[in-house]
Amino acid sequence: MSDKMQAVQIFKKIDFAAMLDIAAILGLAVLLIIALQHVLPWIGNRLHGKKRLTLLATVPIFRLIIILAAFVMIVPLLIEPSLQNMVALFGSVGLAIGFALKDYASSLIAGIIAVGERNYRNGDWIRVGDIYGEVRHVGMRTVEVITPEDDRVLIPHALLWNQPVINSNNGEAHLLCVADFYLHPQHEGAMVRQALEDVAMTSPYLCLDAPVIVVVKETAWGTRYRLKAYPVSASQQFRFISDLTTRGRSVLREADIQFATAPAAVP
Amino acid sequence: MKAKKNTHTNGAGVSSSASKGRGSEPDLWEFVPLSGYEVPAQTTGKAADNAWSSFKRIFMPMEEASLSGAGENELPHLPQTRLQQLVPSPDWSSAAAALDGALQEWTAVPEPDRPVQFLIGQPYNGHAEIIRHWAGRHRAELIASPAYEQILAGNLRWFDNWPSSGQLWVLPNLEHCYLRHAHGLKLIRQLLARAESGQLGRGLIGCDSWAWAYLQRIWPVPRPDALTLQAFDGPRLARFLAAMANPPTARRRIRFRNAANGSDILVVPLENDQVRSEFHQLAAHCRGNLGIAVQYWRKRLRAAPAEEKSGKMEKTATEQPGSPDEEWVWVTNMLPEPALPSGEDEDFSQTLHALMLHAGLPASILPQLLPLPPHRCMALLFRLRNAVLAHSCDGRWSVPGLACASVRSLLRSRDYLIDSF
Repeated sequence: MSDKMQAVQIFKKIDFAAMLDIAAILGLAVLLIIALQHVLPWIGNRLHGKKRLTLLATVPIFRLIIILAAFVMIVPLLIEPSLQNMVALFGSVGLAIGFALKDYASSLIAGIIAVGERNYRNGDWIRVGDIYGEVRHVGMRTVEVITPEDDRVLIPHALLWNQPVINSNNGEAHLLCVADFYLHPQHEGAMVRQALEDVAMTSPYLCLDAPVIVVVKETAWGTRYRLKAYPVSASQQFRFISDLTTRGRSVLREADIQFATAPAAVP
Repeated sequence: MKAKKNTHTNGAGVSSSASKGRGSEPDLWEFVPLSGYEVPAQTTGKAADNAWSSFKRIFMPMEEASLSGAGENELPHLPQTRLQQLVPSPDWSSAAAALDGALQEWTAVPEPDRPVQFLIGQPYNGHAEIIRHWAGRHRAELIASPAYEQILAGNLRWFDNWPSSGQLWVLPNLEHCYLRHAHGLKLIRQLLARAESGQLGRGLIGCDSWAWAYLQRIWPVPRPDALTLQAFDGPRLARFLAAMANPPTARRRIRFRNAANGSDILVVPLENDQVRSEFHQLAAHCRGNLGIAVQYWRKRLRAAPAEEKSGKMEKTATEQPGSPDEEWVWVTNMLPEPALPSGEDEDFSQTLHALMLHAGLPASILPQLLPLPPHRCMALLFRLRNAVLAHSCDGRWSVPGLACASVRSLLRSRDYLIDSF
């Protein structure tokens, strides 16, 4: 009986006007969130480079601000905003969610942390497990990624707790691309390095303000060359690697450089 | 590039001037090191206007079909002969005289520290013509650019064209001596190495500013003493255009009037030193590039409107003075800038970038530089031509002068390498 009395004391008496206020706040918040989730990406996708990424990254932040603002406005309409009442209410709600919607709540909280820590933002290229793609939408529970195969993958934020997230460009417009070449060991290394550097320097995809690096590693069956460079835009990464690979192979073949063949598998 | 005025000398410690101005006015032609180039500042109002136009373009991309004739008002064009009299092509020989002054110390020393000097010029700003005039003054050997086949083959026989030791030489178009192709850099690296080491003797090399920006990446030898023609700011531009329109033999006064409000923009012979904001805007828009500013000016001139037309223009037309010693020429507002056709943004950007880096290319070479088949390259070039972003001249496709500002801004927004002007 006393618990019932206490619960009644926590909640205010909700009249029709209060219900209207709550409905109006909720409606406005939902409308604002829908609008910004459409308008900002629409504008952002008409921009290029850093401007695009910066604008896209603001979407989840604005959404979080709207949700928090709506929450702060609604709570005083429902309860007396004293410390005692807040602890009692959130303790009860937390307990209920902890038992019934544990994974969901975990993803929601991870989502807030992901927005705060900026682990991934719209426009970033991330790898989580075997999934690699461009972040298109950082939602409340999941992050939406479009893979190079045009698959839409929804990854729960809760994976943040125990999975590494590899972010290839981390909010920047450029990301490092690598083209591999495997050559027969009998060749002039300096010439090959220069030729591969020129292949990168003459690619129309290359960002000329970023460095071009050739890394060489000797293996038991051949020499591995890794041509590392940055394209003008992160979205060009696969076309850039293809361009480097095809033109690189062509230049090396014209210079009579032999390619390594994979060693036969030992039975 | 700077925004503040300073006095500059080139690497040889020589001030660079010709065509002395009136009183304290700066010289019309001035050559400065690249770091001394002062881009004319844009007025706050114009900058805000440009930002607003860019913002609007996000929401309303221009239609391809609307680009070519957009903004033309109804004023009749001037006859071609009169237009040629009012705005002839710049006489680059005066600039060559100023360059001569800038290089005086270098030419006077028997064995200078630097056997070659560089003159860097923005597109259409006459660097090759200036060098040819300079070569004429010094009887220097003119070296022709190699054929594209020679460049791709890395054919070192091109160096047989160089004169014997002691003879001064000039290479006006360094931008035509390389290709952005895996086999297109060998020859120019050889050239720069031989030139810098003094193997080729003493010479002057001209290079387009876009090609220079790229070449600095493949041959990273800094040349802070490389010269460039100082920017034409508003006052300098007004003086130049007035001098062009009013040769010493002319007897008539010419009034260039704003077609929108009828006010005088320029009266030649110059009546006072006051420079109208239109010239500051034009200079800022062209980033001090005289060649392009002249093209804009020529494009904006119109004849007097026909009397039967109604409205404000009719009123101003009837105000033509009776004096036969005065002529009125109407100047329209700044022309609308061409915009990229919709779709295939990346292909268009790469094509325009290749054209800018090489100061124009034959259509047959383009597929070797871009990851596109020949028919796609041709289709892109035709679409760019329809959008007034490319044109073909003497078998070479290039970006027209009136599109250079748009293309520069477009490529910069997409993080492509641009020139440093």
